[in-house]
Amino acid sequence: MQGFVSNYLIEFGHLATFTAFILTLFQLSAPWLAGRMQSPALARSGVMASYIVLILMTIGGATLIHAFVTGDFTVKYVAAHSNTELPLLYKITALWGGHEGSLFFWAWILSAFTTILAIQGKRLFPLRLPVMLSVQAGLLLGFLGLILFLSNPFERLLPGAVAGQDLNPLLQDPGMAFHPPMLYFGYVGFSIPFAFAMTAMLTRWETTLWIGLIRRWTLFAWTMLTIGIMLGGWWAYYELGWGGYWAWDPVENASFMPWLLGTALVHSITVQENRRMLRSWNLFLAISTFSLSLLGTFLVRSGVLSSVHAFAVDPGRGVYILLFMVTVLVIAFGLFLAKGRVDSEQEAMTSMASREMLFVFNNVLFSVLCLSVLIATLYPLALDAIGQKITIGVPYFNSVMIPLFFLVILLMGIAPATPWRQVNLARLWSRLWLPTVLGFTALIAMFVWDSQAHWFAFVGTGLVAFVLFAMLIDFIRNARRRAKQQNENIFNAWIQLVKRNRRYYGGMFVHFGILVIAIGMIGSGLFRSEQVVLMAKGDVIEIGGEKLRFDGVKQFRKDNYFALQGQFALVGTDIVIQPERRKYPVQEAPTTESGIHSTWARDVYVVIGEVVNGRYSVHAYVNPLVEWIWYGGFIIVFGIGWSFSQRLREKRVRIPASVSQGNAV
Amino acid sequence: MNNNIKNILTSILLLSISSLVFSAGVNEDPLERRMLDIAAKLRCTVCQNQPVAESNSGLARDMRAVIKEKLEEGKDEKEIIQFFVDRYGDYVLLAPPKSGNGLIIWLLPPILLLFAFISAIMIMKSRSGKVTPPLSQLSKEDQERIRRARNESNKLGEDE
Amino acid sequence: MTRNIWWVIIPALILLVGLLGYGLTSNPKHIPSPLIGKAFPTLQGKDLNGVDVTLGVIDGKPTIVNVWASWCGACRAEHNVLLRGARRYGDSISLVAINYKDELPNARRWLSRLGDPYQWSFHDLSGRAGLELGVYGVPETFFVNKQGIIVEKISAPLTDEMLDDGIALMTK
Repeated sequence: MQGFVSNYLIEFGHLATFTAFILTLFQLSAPWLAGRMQSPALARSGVMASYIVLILMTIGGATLIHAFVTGDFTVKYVAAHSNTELPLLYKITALWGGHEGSLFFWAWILSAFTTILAIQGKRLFPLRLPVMLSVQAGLLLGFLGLILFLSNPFERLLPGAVAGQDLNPLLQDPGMAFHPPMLYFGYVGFSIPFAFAMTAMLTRWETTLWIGLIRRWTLFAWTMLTIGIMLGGWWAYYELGWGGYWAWDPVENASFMPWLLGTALVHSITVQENRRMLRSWNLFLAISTFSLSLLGTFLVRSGVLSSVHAFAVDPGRGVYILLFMVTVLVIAFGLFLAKGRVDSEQEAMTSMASREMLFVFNNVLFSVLCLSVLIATLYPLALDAIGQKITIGVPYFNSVMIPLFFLVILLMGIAPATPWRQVNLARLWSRLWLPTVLGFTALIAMFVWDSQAHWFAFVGTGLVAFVLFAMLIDFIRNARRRAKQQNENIFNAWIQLVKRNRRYYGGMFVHFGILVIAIGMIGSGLFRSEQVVLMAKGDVIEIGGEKLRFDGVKQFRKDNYFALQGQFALVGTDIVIQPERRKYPVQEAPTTESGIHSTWARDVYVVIGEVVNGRYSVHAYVNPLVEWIWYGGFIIVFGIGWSFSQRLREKRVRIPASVSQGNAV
Repeated sequence: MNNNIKNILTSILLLSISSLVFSAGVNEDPLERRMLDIAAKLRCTVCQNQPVAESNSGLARDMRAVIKEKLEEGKDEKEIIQFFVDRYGDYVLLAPPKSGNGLIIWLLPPILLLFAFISAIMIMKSRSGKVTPPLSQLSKEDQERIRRARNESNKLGEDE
Repeated sequence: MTRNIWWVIIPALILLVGLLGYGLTSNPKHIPSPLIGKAFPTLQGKDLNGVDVTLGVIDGKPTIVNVWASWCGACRAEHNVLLRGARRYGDSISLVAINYKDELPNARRWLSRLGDPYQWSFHDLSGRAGLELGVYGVPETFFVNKQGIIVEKISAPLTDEMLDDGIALMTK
């Protein structure tokens, strides 16, 4: 009986997923059927369908996880990505360690978010909910179709394998374990704004009425994507041994593009809420951001591009995903073209010198950034079509993208000081002249400190200083005003200000986090020290102001691998740095674990290589300020959390700036 | 004579022993550094998107060895890079050359930016349509409302 | 947004999708060689039996230079094509090889087991000769005409068709 259950449990999961597929088909057609058959109940049944689909997908997922945990190697996917010696955590995270499982996971999350949308919609927009669920169902159907017919994680391997092939050692790591889920929450999260936009165009839904609803979803998706990207960068940094965290690899770019447009969307929504403008931009951004999520899925899984990250190549799947993507794009953009002008009521621009215009510039900048990354990622492919082969690598991306980011940072400093509708240039200057002076001072100081550095260092430092002081002065000015109005002392004013304007100051925290990241990138990107030396026991090297001594190696066995561990000491301290070379017997691909000693000021980063003539090849780096990148990530997440916590206070009625006194929150 | 030679030999012996005992401060071979700097500009042709400086593949190692050899022969960076481009094409460069089809991709982003900015300005300008009638043509109450709103706005400043 | 922007976006989307569709069919790893049309470099070394040889035009005849290794699975696949070709074209062309980054005993054993269509195989243990020729994988094949110009370079296992086409180009 036991054998029967365990053998057939996975089939039960498979059946559940298939049933979900059928139900999703129903959910997709519910509104149209309801219209045909004049049955409102049929329309509402889409909601029930979404609940059941989630339950079924959960059953499917649970049986897969169960197969992993119990080491059921009669399931092909489990046999390919797991092993009895694998630690439990990784047995579970192996669910998304390969193509089929990660697709299933994607679909699972989509079904969960759809259900949450349904619950939210029942209360807030019941009339339009069936169409919304229909859009979501269309997306889910596409994925389930791919999963069930071309990339099935439930496929059996009978008779079962004796031992599993083990999870790719690179993925046996806490950072890697959670990087995909965070990314998927982000990608799938953007399907909600997408669904809203589609529904708005399909049912003539005025943008003002729903734009506030997608604000949180967009912020949530953006945050998840940010965390996912940061985890990926952090993992790449400490795991891959080249001392860097971003290589402009096509798959990295695939996650970065939706992030860029997502950032634009988050800001653009604010304009819509405050000034009832940029409606077309919002529709366009909502559609495009999710389209890029789909594009990312295509790029990663089809083998079209050469990348260190790509899943195993299979053109058949690539064709399916491409067709699916084309269908979604054609319908979405086709609708936009036909019905983009859903509501005619829209505020007009009062003046070109206003915060609205700066937001438009912001949209433009991020869109150009995104488009540039897209074109650069695909350009080699385009040239390949005419017989020419080139590489577009890190030097290109850095040279082209970083100046654009500098412009973004500049905007970040100017926009909060610029009022809605019309700016008084004299007043604007009175707020910004000091930050400008301080910015230039910082620029000059950096130049004096190291005139040989790349010009990115000077401009970057200057801009960061400019924005930092602009934000600080803004904060002080607001606190002073509040202190005077409320008769508080300045410190109370500061605290109350931040507590009572969580959306605004949450956003400021996020901007601050971005600045911290920028500082980290300037330090570690432009001032890194690097040495490759052959070292014998006792040898000392001087690098980046640190003295590193090699004290030999240790060898041992742990879990499912053998390790050779180098012992490095920072002379004059009891700090020991221990890089490793690991061999996983099952997978046979050796991996390196970098030895890192981190302080807020710098990382000492050591990689131990092979033996040459009795000495070890050692690659050592000193990365100044690199930890600030991760600190910045935490600050961003805190800022978003702060912004979200606004809900805990009483809900304010949102009035466009034309009616209010210009002090809307 | 004998004494001098003895002294010299003893000094040499002592120096060699001491360099073994008091562990060497090792320095990176400057030639290695130059090799790596050049290798960082070349793409490993059999890898998925990695520079030759970082890849562990056989071809990358061969390429690094060749670079080092050529540096020892006295060739400079330009010649060495050209050596590889002659045999592997522009593909071996990590960034596209700034000529021909490569130039297009270098120029495209700034051109896009310029085009997008100008378009945005032109489009938004054309939207500045709705104009409120001049002050004198408005009713007294409306004028009062405007004046009051302006005062409030000046007092409170603009937050967010 | 004006309607006019769509005249940009629609073609762009079509281009994007077309490009990606093309991408599915293309091989991102194949590199066209810049050596085509250039002279084959003269490389000196030893063959598998230790005899001094020079790579280049052999005996004044159009020459095929095939790059292979005993550790290369795809080389096995094309080996019969080369054996057939050697028989068919016999004296009208020269057929030599570069044994790339291979140990002598393995290389010799491979040839004795599967047949040796080559006049000789240049032993390139270090891979240096390969680098001189822009070799990035095995198997590869160079077609060199009488004047010593490389007329074609194939970076994939040969088929009979490819061999015939290459020889036609060489002997023009």
